[in-house]
Amino acid sequence: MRIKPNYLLGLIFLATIVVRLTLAFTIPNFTYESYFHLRQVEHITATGLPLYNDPLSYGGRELIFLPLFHYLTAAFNLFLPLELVAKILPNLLLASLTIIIYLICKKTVKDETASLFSAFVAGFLPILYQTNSFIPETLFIPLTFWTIYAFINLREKNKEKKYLLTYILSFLALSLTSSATFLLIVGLGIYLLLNKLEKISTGKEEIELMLFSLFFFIWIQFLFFKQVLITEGISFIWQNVPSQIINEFFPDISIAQVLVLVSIIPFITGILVAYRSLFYLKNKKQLIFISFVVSTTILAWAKLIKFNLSLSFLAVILAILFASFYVDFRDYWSKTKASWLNKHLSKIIIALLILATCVPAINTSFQQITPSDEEVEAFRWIKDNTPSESTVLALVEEGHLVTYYSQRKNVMDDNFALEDKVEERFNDINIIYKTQFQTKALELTDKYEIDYVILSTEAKERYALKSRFNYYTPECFERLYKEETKVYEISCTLEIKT
Amino acid sequence: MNLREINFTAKKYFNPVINNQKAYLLLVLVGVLLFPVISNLLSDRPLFTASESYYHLAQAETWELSNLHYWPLTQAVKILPEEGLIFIPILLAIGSFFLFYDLVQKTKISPKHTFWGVLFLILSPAFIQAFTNLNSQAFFLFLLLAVFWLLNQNKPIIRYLAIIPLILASFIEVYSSILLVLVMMLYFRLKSEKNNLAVICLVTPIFIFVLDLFWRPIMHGPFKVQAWLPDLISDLGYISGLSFFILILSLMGLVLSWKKLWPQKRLRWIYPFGLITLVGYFYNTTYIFFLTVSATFFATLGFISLFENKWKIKELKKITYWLLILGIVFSTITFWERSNDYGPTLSDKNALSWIKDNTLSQSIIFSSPENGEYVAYFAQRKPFYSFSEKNPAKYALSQEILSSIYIQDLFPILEDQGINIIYINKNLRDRLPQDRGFLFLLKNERFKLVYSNEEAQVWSFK
Repeated sequence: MRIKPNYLLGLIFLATIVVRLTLAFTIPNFTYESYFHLRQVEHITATGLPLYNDPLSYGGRELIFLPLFHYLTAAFNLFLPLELVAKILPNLLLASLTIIIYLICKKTVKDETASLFSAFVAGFLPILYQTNSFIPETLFIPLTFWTIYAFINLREKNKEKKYLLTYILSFLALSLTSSATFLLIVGLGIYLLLNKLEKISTGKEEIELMLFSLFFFIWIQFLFFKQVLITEGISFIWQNVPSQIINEFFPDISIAQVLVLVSIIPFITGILVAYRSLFYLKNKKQLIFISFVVSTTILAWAKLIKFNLSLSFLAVILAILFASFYVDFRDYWSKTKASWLNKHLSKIIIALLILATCVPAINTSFQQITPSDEEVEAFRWIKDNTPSESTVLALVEEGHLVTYYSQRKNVMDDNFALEDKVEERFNDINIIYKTQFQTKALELTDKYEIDYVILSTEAKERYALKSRFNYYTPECFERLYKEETKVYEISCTLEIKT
Repeated sequence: MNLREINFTAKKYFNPVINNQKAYLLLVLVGVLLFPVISNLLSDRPLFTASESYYHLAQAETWELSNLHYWPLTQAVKILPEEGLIFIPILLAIGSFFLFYDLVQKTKISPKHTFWGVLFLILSPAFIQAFTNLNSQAFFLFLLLAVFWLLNQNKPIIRYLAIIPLILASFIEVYSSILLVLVMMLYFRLKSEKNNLAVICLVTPIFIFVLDLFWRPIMHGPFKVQAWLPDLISDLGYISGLSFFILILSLMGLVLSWKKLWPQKRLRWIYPFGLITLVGYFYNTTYIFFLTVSATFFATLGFISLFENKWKIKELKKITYWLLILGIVFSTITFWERSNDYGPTLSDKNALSWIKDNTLSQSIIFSSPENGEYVAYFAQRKPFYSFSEKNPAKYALSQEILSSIYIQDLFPILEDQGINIIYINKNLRDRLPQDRGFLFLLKNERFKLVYSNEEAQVWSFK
């Protein structure tokens, strides 16, 4: 009995969502950066507006971001609890990639089995298994591929208007979701260039859409990030990240790590397809995806885009190219003497794919860095037991926990844009944690008007602290919260006697 | 209202604007230039915002043979009050505008091209910055247009008068004489003229170019630390520069017009002109205005060919068209908003005037190189270093002073260089750490705070 491809697709989607949600609910809490977005959604739900003037981050600052993802979540938050929406929605969005990739592959290779394989690969890409991440990229990635799907269908007879409208609407949504949309624009630019080089005609409507996309994207960026662009100039791309931690955003990564994160099978087959399409087949349908591979590689190499995002994008494209590989490979295999193996080919590929994608995907999910329940409890404790105007020092990545759970001012978090002297601030925080001298620590706590310091397990590990600060004295640092995570109240100031 | 009606309405309103463009654009020009001036006036700041203005003003007050060409400015400084000097560049802009329109009438340039070209140029931050300051490039443009205007007169004797602005323009600096030679070659090629006047107009700038090589700078400035990319795009925070939209349009214009213009041997010269302005910019980013003129030319070609072509998706054409217009206007408005963040403040002026009145005339004033021209003009004292000096060793020394941590390193430099006054303004104070380094060292007893106001301080060093 032959099962309808749509049912199989539904099964892949269901499997993806079940695995993703199981992992999301098994692992407690969210990744550190998620708490910034959770707080924004909470604010939108309550007031209808994003919190662009944040009174708590860095002790009070202005921070502009693109708000569509937060509005979308806030819409669900109207009738569902936020922490539930934040676990379900991103996973649902990323699971929807299976359907989008199936549609794209069906359009390009016109083979349902191959498209289903690609959908499966897209559903279990290890790099996308940050199941507890509540970040705009979870909307950005499926939306980008939905836009690409509309773009490749522009010349579809009698459906031009439908796909044109789909493209425009999804591009508008993309521009309001993430600045990484320029990855799509650069990709389309390279597609135009490759078409020219390969002497393939580009449709007029395609060029028109590219022009519109380019100008609209720049315009939106100027509208939202005018101040950031003016203040930080070209360095706005690197978001004012302190040099000490820039490697976390743009790491030098080995091929072996890429192979694990992208999954070895789609990686090798994708490169093979790209090579053949570019140099032998001159296949227009694949050219657009190859253009995106090129644009992603260039932008990642030039460190113009966050490494994780570029790798995720690349992984999905390689999943698409896998369909083409499957079709070519099956056709080639049927011409060999071992063609009798063809009827088992699907089973072999499924087994290989499960090994190459599902296992690393689950592994990646368990490797996510999230705060423990005990740490979260300490941050919650601060909210109930300290004055509302106080400033709390925590690690940079814990900064959003201070503002989200404790609802207190933090000294620093990982939104560095528009902040003066971030390097100095970052160094000062390091000094407070690792100095041997109480006078130095007090000088800095005075400088940033810090009232409480939180010493988490992560901080203890990072600064090799046993159970307390090196300069700890009960007179100046009163221990208020005494679990594994500790909260100290600073009761001394440094006075210079003349 | 359906789309056809909207289109009709747009044409109905738009065509009269194109037909009466001179009046409309003159209004835009005056408005665009007066806005930053009024804004500075209201916030009680000196009206010139660029260091270059103060460089020229300081030069005009120095009576030397090599500064002979500053004589008209010297006279203007004597006659006009300080605030009145702002009208010099504005009048130059209006003069250039009328000269340009008079010239355009004698050419085959379409009103549409003229309108968009002039509008894009007027709205560009580089144009506003050049014509609200004393800027050698703006002056050059005015003289160049005067040359062409005179060359296009009917009476031969008036045509020969073109040699006067030609000589003046050639004397600005070496780069301007190179540009003049090229522009003259292009002009006479287009006109197919081979008479005595053509020979004179070509030989004069070549002759002056040779002279310039011995005693004129290749270019004025730079007046700040140069950075190619940030200085190019005004939307990235530079005081001058191009709109990002104009930059994209100009690249498109360059590509789209190549097939049309390059085969025409007489028009081919436009490309080397564009290339020279680009090279000039890379050599000295202060020369963004000439590059803006080239970029605007290509942007106009790009803009018109983009929208003259039939679009398959007409609605998209309209949206893209308005996005571009709004984007270009957006750059102008953000430039306006920032215009009084730059240049000296009233506190700077007061502190520097105090130095002028209360220190010895041979004093050497140390401040950041960016303040060098202000020191030279307002305090009328020798700055330790200003960017226009182009002395890398001295620049390195000034950076060494600013980054010094120990008095053992700082004092010998100050003593050797004869620095006895230190001028600290808000910009410099914001940039340097307070609790260590140069500002911290000022607490030493050898430094004495002799003047301070809300933003600026003057310290003496003994």
